[in-house]
Amino acid sequence: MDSIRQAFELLFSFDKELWQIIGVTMRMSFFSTTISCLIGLPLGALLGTKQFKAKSFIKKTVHTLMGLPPVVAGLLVYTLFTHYGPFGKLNLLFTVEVMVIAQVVLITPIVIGLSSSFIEGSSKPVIETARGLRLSKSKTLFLCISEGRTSLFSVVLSAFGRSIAEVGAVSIVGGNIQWKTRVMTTAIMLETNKGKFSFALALGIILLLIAFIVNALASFIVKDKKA
Amino acid sequence: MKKVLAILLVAVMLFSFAACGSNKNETTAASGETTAATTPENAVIRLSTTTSVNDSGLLPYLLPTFEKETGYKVEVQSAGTGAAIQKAEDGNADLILVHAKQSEEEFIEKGFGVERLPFMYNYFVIVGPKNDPAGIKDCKDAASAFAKIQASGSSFVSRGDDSGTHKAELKIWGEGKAPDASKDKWYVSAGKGMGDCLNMASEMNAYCLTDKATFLSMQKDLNLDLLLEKGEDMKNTYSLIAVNPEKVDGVNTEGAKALIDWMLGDEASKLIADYGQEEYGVSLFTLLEK
Amino acid sequence: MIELQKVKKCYGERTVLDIESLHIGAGEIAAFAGANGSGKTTLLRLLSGVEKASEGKITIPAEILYMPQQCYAFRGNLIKNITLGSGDKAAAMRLLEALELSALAEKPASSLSGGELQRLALCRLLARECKVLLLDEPTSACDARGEQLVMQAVREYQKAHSCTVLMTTHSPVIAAQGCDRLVILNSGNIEADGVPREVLMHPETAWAKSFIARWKIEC
Repeated sequence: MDSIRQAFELLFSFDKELWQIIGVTMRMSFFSTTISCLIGLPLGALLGTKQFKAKSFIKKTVHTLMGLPPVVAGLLVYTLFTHYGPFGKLNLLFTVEVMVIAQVVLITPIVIGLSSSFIEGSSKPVIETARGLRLSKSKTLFLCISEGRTSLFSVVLSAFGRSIAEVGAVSIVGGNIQWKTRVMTTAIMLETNKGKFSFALALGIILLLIAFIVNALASFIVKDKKA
Repeated sequence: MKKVLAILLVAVMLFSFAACGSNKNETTAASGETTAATTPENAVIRLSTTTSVNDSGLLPYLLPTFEKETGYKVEVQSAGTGAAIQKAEDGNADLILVHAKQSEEEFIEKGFGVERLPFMYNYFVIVGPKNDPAGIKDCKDAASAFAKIQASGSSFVSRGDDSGTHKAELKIWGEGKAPDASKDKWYVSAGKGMGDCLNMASEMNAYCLTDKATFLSMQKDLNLDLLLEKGEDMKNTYSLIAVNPEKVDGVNTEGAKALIDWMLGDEASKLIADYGQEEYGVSLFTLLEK
Repeated sequence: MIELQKVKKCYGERTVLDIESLHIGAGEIAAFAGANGSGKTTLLRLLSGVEKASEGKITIPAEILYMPQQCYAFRGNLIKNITLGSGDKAAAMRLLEALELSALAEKPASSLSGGELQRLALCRLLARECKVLLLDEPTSACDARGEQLVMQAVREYQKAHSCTVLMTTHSPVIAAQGCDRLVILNSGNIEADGVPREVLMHPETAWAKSFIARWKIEC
């Protein structure tokens, strides 16, 4: 109860640091979601519609990677971008950019896996009907995407949800640096470690509020398109 | 519908937490039975301590001897100083082992702690890039070293997590004189544990204030040198405080007392004084004069 | 025109279609009948190219339009379902009128009943040009009026484009009145083949006889 009150007080006090953290969180989640969808949706569509030899192996691999522990993804990206690592020269460690990279590693398999099974499930009659009408390949793909857009949209939202709620990977590669790479989840972790449990919970409530607003906005936009 | 689902989900989660808790009790009770001959009635002691104490390896070195001799089983929970103390206030610990004088005194003032028993100390050290760009090597204390770092604009990684080490750092900067992370880009407020901060300092070619034990245990993987130690303002005193059973329910008072007595006794003192000699050639902790 | 030589289709162990030889001439309207699992739908799927034959050779022009048994409603209203964003709207409207769907033209296709959806799917096909029209049970969900409308539209289209029409059906009425030819399939083999009236009145094999007897009673 106390936490809820604290959450709203915090929001409406327009605390500069809180809004900066929310800004970093949104920026990171937006870019990681966008990039993993740009990579993952076409691959998912391909995996869902095409038949080829290595398909079942690739599907198993994707499904395994969907369960990749965030900490492992974080460590992987950390070793790539550490000072003496292969990409150390880029000086990206402890930046928002590298957090986005770690999240893309984490989220892209989820986007591929979910979108491929959605498309596989819903596109068979679309493909047959389109084929019966002798439509071009590009028109068929367009129809598959447009017919499955509600479910593809929920894939995008799951990706966003995962991204905004993730803490293990971004904490390792981002470093939770104040005014730079601190996001809502790492801030919550920090407050928990400080023993300020009710304040941490208040931050958690704000995070949930943000997620709710984004979901509501997104479904509002999609409904608009339908009409 | 979604709301109902959400509430259900929370209920399930809470229930599973509760289930975990009770399981834990059962297993400890069961393991207690195996050493029945010497086991005290309430055999589990919950010790809440800070990450730096735990990371230094001191407790895993000491506690097996205590457990063998007394039949107690010590469950060590480690977190930042703030959380370590909060857990005790919430009734989840029997005693605390921390190193933040002011917080400790508040803990006792609020009635949660019985008595503050400082028993050992070590020195914080300043570590940094091997070439020491700010030239702090010959400083006489931490305050002057910090001033040089600030003047040179070299990066500095701060714990930034209200831990004992963070509080000690703020004290060295002086009241209200600590850099403002929102403006001073060289001052990196990491909000992480000691080990993570050392890794970050190594990656960023930055200075860092750390306890010596954690640094020594990680040194071979770090690109950092120990640049300054034993300044008068770098002393780091550790205390034991038993939780007050009159203020907090369910405290294992006998267990806490047994552990404190043992820690302050001659055998533990000798063990503590020896700790680090074998591995690093130096003692990591010094006992206070009684 | 359309030629099948030793065509086989197997799913694992099961052979669902096994046709020694079948020829269908240009401009014919041919109906395929048979019990469930006799291979009617499989035959149309092979001809449409949705599935590949396990063995044998199929010769068929490339310009095919095919209506699957399960009709699919795309997002959007009926007109959009026919034009798919690029076709002639006036032509689409004329087709909807011919199949008595014009009142629903602006309604979303997802709101249609089974019989209406079937007619819409036919409109979508007839708005395009082809040499071969493949229809899998185009009237299975239609009432008597619907059947009449569908067959009328198909015949008009056939005349206008002088194309070949192959359809599967469960209705002897459609087979007898609307088609030039009736082929009866039994477990993947051709059991009877000829002018519908002849096949229905004078079945050659005992199996065909009993099938047709049952068929007539059912309707």
